Parts: sequence; C-alpha cells; structure tokens
Amino acid sequence: MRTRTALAFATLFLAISVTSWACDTNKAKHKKARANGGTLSMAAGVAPRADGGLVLHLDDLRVKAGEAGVFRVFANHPEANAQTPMTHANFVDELFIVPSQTSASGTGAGHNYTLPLPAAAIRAGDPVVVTLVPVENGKLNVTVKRAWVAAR
Amino acid sequence: MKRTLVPGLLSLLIAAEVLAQGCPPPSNIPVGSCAPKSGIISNFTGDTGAMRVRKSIYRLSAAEVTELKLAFKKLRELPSSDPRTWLAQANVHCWYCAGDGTNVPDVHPNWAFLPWHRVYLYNLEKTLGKLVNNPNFALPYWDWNTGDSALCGTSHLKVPAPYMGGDATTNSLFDCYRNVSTSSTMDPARVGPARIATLLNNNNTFDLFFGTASTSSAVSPGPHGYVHLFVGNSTNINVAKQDMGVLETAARDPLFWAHHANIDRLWELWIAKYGTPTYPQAFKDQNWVFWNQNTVRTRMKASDATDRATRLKYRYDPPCPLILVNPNILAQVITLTPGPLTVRTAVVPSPESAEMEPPRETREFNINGDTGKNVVLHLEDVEVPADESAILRVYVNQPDATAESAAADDSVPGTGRLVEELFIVPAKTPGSGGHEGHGHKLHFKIALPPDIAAEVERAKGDVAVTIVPVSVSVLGGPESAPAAVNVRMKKPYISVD
Repeated sequence: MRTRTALAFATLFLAISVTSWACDTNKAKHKKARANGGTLSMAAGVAPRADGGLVLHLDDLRVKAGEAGVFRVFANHPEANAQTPMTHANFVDELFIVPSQTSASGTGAGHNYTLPLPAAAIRAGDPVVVTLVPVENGKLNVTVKRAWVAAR
Repeated sequence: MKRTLVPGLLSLLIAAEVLAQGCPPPSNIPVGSCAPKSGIISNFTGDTGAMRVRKSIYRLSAAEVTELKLAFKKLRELPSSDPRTWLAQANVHCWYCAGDGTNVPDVHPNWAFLPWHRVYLYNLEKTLGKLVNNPNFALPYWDWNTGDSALCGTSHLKVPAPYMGGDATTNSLFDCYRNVSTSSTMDPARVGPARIATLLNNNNTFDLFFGTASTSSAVSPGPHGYVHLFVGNSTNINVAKQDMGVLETAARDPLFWAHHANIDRLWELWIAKYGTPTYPQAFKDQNWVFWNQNTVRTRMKASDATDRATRLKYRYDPPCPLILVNPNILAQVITLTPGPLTVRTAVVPSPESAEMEPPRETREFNINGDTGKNVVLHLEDVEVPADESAILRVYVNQPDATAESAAADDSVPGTGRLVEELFIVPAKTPGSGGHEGHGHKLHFKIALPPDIAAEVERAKGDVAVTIVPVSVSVLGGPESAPAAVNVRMKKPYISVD
C-alpha cells in the first residue's frame, strides 16, 4: 500500500513537468517558474521587430546548491524532450552549469543568460514560449525569474 | 543493521581504493576556508619577460611534458606556509566563486569570467616557470575542439595522456577525483569544431561573447561547463563530483589549467574573427588580487588581460600546422592524365578546420633555418587503381616540367625544383575508402627543402605544383610519359609546422 502511494506521488511529481506563466509584455509581470525534475516551459513575451536578430534572456536562473544544471533550451517547441536533437530548427542552446557547493545563499547563485535565437524559428510578432529540457537522464531542478525576448 | 553496514563497507572500500592510488583522503569542500593569506598589495606593472608560447598539449615534446610534470610536482611540494601552494592556488578559484560564503562577487556568471581566468592562469604560469627556473615556461592548452584531420591526428576528446598515467604519487598531473578513464570520450556535438564554430558565429557581439556586468559569457555555460562536468563525472554529467565538477575544487585538478587555457584561446579566436572589441571602461576596471610568482600579493585589472600580448606576454600556437590554402580547395579532386598537371596553391592562409582562424600573430610566415619550422607540401587521397603502379614526379614552381625534360635532368629528388619522386606500388586490395576500381588512398607529406621553402615564403604560399607522371623502361631506357594514367588526388596544399 505504502509502495503504491509512493508510486502515485512519484507519477504526479513527474506529470507536473510543464509550468507556464503568461506575460503581457516582455519584461512586465513575471513570476518565478520552477521545474521539478521534468521540462519547464514558460512564456517569454512577443518577439519584437529586429533586423539584427533576436536574443532570449533567462533572468536569475538558479540551480540548487551542489547540483549541476544540464539542459537544452528550445523556443516555440513546447513538446521538446530529451530526444529532440540539437539540430532541430527551434533549438536555442545547451547549457552546462557547474555547481557551487557552498553558495552563500544556499540556493545557488542566480545566473542571467542571453542566448541568440535561431532566425528561422521566431518571427517578429510571434509569441514566444521557452522550453528547458533536461538531458542525459538528468532532472531539471531550476527556477527562472523571467524569460523575455529582445532585439540584439 | 544492513542499512548502516552497507554504506559503511562502501566507504571503507572507496577509502581503500583512494589510498591505493596515493590520494589524499577526500577533503571536504572548503567552507569559510579558502580566504587568501593577507599581505600588502602591490599593483601589477606588466610582464617584462620574453613572449611565451602556449602550445596544444598534443604538440608538446617529451621534454616539455617532463617539465610540465616537474613544475606541478614542485608546486605540490611547496610548504603550506607558502601562499603559492597547489591548494592555495585552487583556493583562489574557490574564493572568487563565492565559495567562502562571503560577499566576494562570483567571477563566473558575468563578464569577469574571461579576464579573471586569464590573469589567474597568468599567475600560475609564472609561478610554475619560477619553480622550474624557466621564464619561458608556458601552460599547455587542451584543444578539445580540434577535430580529426590528417594534420592533427585523431580528435582530442579524451583527457590527454600526460594527465592520466600513474597515480597521485607518480604523476603530478594526475587527479584522484576525476571520473574518467582513458577511453572516456566527450561528445563532439558539445565541444567539437562545429560546436565552437557555431558559438563564435552566433555570439558576434561583445555583450554576447564576453557577457555583461550581470549576464553570463556565452563560453561559460557552453563548452566550458560541459568539460568541467564531464571530467568530474563522465558517466553522468548531471551528478556533480569533485574536483573539476564543482567550482570550489575545480582548480585542484591540473587539467583545469589546460582546459581554461583553451577557453582563454577562444577569446583570441573571437578576436581573430571579429577584431579587437572596444572594451567598456567598466569591464577594463575590474580588478582582483592574486599571489604572484614572487609571493607578492598583486592587484591585476581586466585591462591587463585585454592587453595580453604586451602586459602578460604570451600567445598561442595553433593546434595544428598552419595550412596555406582555402579549405574549400581541399574538397576538390584532380585527375591526372599522361601529361603533366600544374595546379596552384592558394594565397590566403587559413586553417584546415572550420572551427576558427588561428590568432593573427601566428599567421606570420617566416621560414628560415632558425625558426625550426617545416614547410610541407601535402598530396592527399592519392588513389591509383588496384594492381596498378604509378611514378609521379613533383615539382614546385617549374610548370614547364615534362617527363622528357625530367629525363634530361639529373636532379635528385629534394634538390632543385624536383621536390619528390613518388613510387606507388600496386595494392592488391582496394582500400575501403577508395572509389570502385581504385586502391588505397595515400597521403604524402613532402618536406620542402630550405630554398624552395623560402620561395614559398616570398610567394606567401602561392606556388605552382606540377605533377609529372613518368614511366621507366624496365631495360633502363629513357623516362617518358606513360601511355595511360589513372590517378586521382585532392588538390595539393602547403602547411607550415
């Protein structure tokens, strides 16, 4: 019985893998998005017009102290999973965060990333959804304060 | 009972294994213990020594590897009272990654990443040089991004051999707390030449490549992070392990320095591609304190790092011989006919790999007896049909050469303009890579004699290579053009090694 309950909780834990918050504007309202092991999808506003290309900002991304952060970032591909290759048109980047064991905060230092977006995947005026996908059998335990798209 | 016994036994087994390797007992990650020793701080005034040359670890001579090991051995043997010890060096990294639990800003998630590590490496390099009494000592770099090629050999995705042999007592470059074997191979999609080319292409602005005061450099979470995690735990990069896999202990591994030298080299490759950026003043004003080779606490600024050649006095040798040809030419195949064929090598120096151009200073093309450089003519993928033979005479800057003129000429290969005579014997079994009906693909490297090499230098690599098929009578008759020739090869190119 206890095993069955634990299994049910584990299933529930894995099922809650997609969390998303909508933003009215790119940098306005933002709530912290949290991944609990699975993928994390979050709205990143609307792509502005930009001749020189677009970049995706991930603000105050934190991994737990002592844990590595290994994940791929996709734009407008919320169904991406660990098998989605890096050659996919909506692939943005793959990040490897070396952990800090003894961060002062105990929750890991926040990182801000600016990632060039693939030109073919996003057009001006498109709403953008960012998806973070753990790879190599890892689990994604990160929080992201805000994702937003801007011109380079 | 079982639950407590099993982990206990495991710990004992692990401890026994560690001791068998001559490792110190696993130390705790320092908490509040990596603060540097105090001392009066002096300002860095610039390196006054000669230019040091950092080479790929794969291109070090045996003597250079021995010196590298000796330098780290001496570093490990420094008394604990010395502020430059191996552990003290590692703790500087710990200190500047906020590992001490203090408010020292972390140099990793912002634009401090590249310049801080540059001056950090500088101080260790000078300390190691002092310990082996060699002011020209230079750290090697682990060019994990060099792909397979005829010139560079196999790819560099495994931990370089000098860092792997022996144990902590016999090899100062060994680290007990890696989880890699000699067969562990990194994923080229993460660090190979194509990945680095993409990194450089996509991050074409200062803010993207170097980061800002509040955003990360593109290099840090990319190949930099991957190599750290892989060396820490190649079987599962998601599970962080000492030493390389954790920021606080990463620099305890001697491999850290070779890895970061290559990260530092990416900075130069970015400049080679886009030119020197206008560094923001706030970027240049960043400063940090290190113990220098003379045990003096020294304040160094990011502007020392941006002025690498004059303030820090080192440069990078390219990982492979420099090829004086446009890489597109390498894809072209030429077919010989009975008559001579002359092709020209290209003018523009360019590396063979798509990854990058070498630093500009290494483009200088000075060849003479003093430099020790070899100028090599490459004939790649030469194919002759199975069971057929061929004799090819190779001339440089003699486009009028023919089989008949060759017969009248007593030149010995390697003198004059006849740089080589190739005798290709029949191959009974076609090579797997050959075309139907063709035999093995052969790669000839022809070292050019000094006078021809000097000509190549004057012409900046733009020379005529004439290949003359000849047939020789079995009775010793005069040389002549053969009745038929069926030889293919890639266009020749020249490298400087």
